Amino acid sequence: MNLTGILSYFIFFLTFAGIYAVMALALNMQRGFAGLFNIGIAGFWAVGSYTTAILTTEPSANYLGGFNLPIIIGLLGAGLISAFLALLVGIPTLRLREDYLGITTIGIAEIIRLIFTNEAWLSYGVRGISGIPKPLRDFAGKYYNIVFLIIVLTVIAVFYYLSEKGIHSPWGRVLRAIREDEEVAKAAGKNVFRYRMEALVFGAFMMGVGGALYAHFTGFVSPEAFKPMQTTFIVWIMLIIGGSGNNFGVLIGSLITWGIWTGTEFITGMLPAAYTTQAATLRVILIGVFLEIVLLNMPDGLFPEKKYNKN
Amino acid sequence: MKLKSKAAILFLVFVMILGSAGVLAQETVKIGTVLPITGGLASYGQVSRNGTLLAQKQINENGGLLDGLELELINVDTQTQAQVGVDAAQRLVNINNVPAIVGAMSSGITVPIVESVTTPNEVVQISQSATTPVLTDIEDDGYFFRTVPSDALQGIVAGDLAADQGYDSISIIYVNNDYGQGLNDAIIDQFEKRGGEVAESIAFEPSKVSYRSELMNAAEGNPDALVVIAYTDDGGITIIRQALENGFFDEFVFTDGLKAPEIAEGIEGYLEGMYGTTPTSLPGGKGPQLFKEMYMEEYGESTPKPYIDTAYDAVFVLALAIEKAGAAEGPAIKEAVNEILDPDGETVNINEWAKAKQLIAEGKTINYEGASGPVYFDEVGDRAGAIGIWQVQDGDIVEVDVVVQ
Amino acid sequence: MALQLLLNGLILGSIISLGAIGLSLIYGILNFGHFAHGDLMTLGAYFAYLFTVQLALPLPIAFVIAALLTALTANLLNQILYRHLKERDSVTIMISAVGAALIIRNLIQMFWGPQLKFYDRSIQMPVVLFNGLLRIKPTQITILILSSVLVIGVHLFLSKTKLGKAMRAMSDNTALAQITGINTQQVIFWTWVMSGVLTSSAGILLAMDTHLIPIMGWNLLLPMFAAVILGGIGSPYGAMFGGLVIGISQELSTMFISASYKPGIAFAIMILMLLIKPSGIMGRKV
Repeated sequence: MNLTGILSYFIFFLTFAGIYAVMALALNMQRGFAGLFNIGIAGFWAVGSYTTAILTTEPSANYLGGFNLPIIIGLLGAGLISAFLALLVGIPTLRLREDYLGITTIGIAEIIRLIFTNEAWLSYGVRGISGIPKPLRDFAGKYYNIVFLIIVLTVIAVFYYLSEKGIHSPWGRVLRAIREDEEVAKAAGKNVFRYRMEALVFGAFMMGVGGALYAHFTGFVSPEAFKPMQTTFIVWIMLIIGGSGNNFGVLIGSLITWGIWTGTEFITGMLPAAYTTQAATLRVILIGVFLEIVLLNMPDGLFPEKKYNKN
Repeated sequence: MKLKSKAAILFLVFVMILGSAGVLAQETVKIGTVLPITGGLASYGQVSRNGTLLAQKQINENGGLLDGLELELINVDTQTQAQVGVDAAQRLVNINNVPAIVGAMSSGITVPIVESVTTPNEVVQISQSATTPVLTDIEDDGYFFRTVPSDALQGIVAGDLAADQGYDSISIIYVNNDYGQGLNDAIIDQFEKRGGEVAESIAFEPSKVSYRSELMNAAEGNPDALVVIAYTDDGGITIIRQALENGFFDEFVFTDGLKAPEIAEGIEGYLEGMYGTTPTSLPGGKGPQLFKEMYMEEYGESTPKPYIDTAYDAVFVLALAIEKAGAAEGPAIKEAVNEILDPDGETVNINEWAKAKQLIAEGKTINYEGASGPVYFDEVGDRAGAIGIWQVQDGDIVEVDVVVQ
Repeated sequence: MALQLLLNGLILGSIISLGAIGLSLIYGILNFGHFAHGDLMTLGAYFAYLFTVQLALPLPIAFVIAALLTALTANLLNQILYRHLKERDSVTIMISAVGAALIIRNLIQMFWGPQLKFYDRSIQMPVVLFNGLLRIKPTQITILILSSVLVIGVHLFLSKTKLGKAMRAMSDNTALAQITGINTQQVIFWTWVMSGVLTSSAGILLAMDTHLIPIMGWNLLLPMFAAVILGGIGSPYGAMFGGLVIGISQELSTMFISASYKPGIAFAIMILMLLIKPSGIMGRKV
């Protein structure tokens, strides 16, 4: 294959890594800064994807909408609905110990999958929604993939900027204080519940937008898209490898993790066809083992959280 | 910069190089195949893939394509999931730049690939097994074909089959996707036309541990038999067993997704004599017999499952079209598919690639006597076909009859 | 119909209970949600498959070997992973458990494949009771008896033996238990053993009732957690009770809502409990 082939492969690779990086930045807001245990990332991802699918596709008799709205409205709508969902999840759980949020997010991801699978009027059931429009398609022509990559990078830049801004503000300091010691923060008169909720909701907004980007990139969503554990898990690895609490580290972590994940596909692809089933599972095992090794040996990731001034 | 970060970046570069190595290859004519190697339809996808590989072998051993180029098949696994399938097809088109795709196996995956990948990118797609009537009317700009007949016919035959068994009332349980829904609607239509009553028609979600609740609903009103529209590993086997074990049903009618000996394993006695339907080859022509021999020689077994022959034909037809078009480009291949296949053309058998190449060079049209019978498409890319009726006999699947449209 | 659903619920409930007891004790004693518990359950079922189908041993013997091997695996997980992460926050341990869950499930799929497996490929005809109102398979009777025996065994162990009492004490209040001179390492070891044995048994019973598939245990994780929260974290008796409630409500729910939403019932009960009484019916404060 020629140079163009390699280039187009890299663009494709970076686009996917970029969409995951949006997720990882979002998780960093929730886990890295606020200490929240969200293992239902796939659920927020799905809500984001479906929201934009419903908002931006041509009207269809098969599912709710489509409302044929501009893609930018789709992205914002995806973020907002996902944030609203986080609000609902947060209410019963954020006053309690962190495990409850974890269990609840698994549950909500499952319920969301059930809803998109069964409520055909809403989502066309297992058949999924296809024909999701591609931004600037006519304008970009054959350079479409590059244009899409630029859109993804822009979204990352915006979220990165906002996230950094937030964490260096007084709000961010309180968030970290709560994460380090809830009781002290409470004693200082901080409304712990509110701060946690804000982090959860902001993170969920980003996840919704990330999910929407994915939907526009592939042009199709179905309930199976969101393999709950695999997707969620890969985002967690990105966070842990990069360094929980460090936005820059998380971006690098996303690139590395996606590189390894794709790399394992090529390695297992060299196995004979008879072993395809095993190869698919081997990939997950490898990445799982990789996570455990990092957890045990590199607790702070490649780029540990910066020490912030305590005032 | 700290050592650790340097190491990380080096590692990153290494991973990327490793990744890109996979896309370097010599010049060939590429066709993508999008088949389930894992997941609920894995057992069908794996043997369908054998069908495509046999066609590849036939072509490459007899002169290859165009000016002696090798035909390369790049298979991606759909894992029997629509999303994975669409992503995979997307990659075939974007990264491997294939001008044509064979697949997908199930309608549920084929429909979104037509809508989101092949049609917008001007890539020809031929499915060997997607049977839903939805695909007849799909907006595909002419890029989609299939070497299997639509389920409109299978539904009629299955409805008749149930009525012919003397059942007055039946319930239907169907996998909740395009395939299941399409067949379900067609069967209800026909069975009611024959004066029967459909007690319940229930959609089910694949891969659940228990279908007792669904079956309990299906058994309400004590219908005579249950029509099962499912794939073996996604729930079909579980449904049959639990229907028997809990005494919900003891008579069944099956469709093509269950035409596999596994369904009767361990419960041969209970399923003895039950019938099922499946799309099959048109009678006549040497293709089916030749294909059976060819398959036996290569893989040492007879063709146990449907859609192996149609997969062979899909690749063969694409090869004919590429040869005719003179270039591996989507729009040209699309035109060529329609031009080259001609019932009044020169007959080419499935083991006569060299002859086909010769005829195309002479500018002749071809009557392809495919592995699944003569292949030609109507104006929307559908294929006329026949529906076979099979029966469980001594734990084996035996074809007993063929109904022609 | 209600009677039949009640029976189905009782069977599912006993299976959830068996898994939930161990989950609750680990929660109480080691203070984290063990997200790999469902996949340990699957592992137990597949170990039994290995011995009874592939190596042709009688099922009862396979049952015991599988339980012991699962107990061993549970302890290995603790030795290799969780023990080293104790000093870090509980989220780290839990994500490590999620990782372990994925690894176990995919190992199972690698060795045994994704297809359905059965201990016995033939099927049994049900015993029909009350004029057809109730159908019960012989296997299901076995399952009910076996799970009752196991629950009674757990009860005797927890209330009569020194180790069992120590376990309960530690689950109730770890700090206090340590002061009173309980050998915590030993208690932790036996907690993993017991959880492994129980969850493996649950998996085998589930597989006897239906079939084996790599995702089977993961699908029961949420109902198990719901049972633990309902009964109160750290309370083994609460978990038994919670499991039965969850199992029965899931089955009975199909009279009112589509069977597709059955898995959602456990979740709904759990959220309700979190809103009303997060400490659970028999639990301590959280």
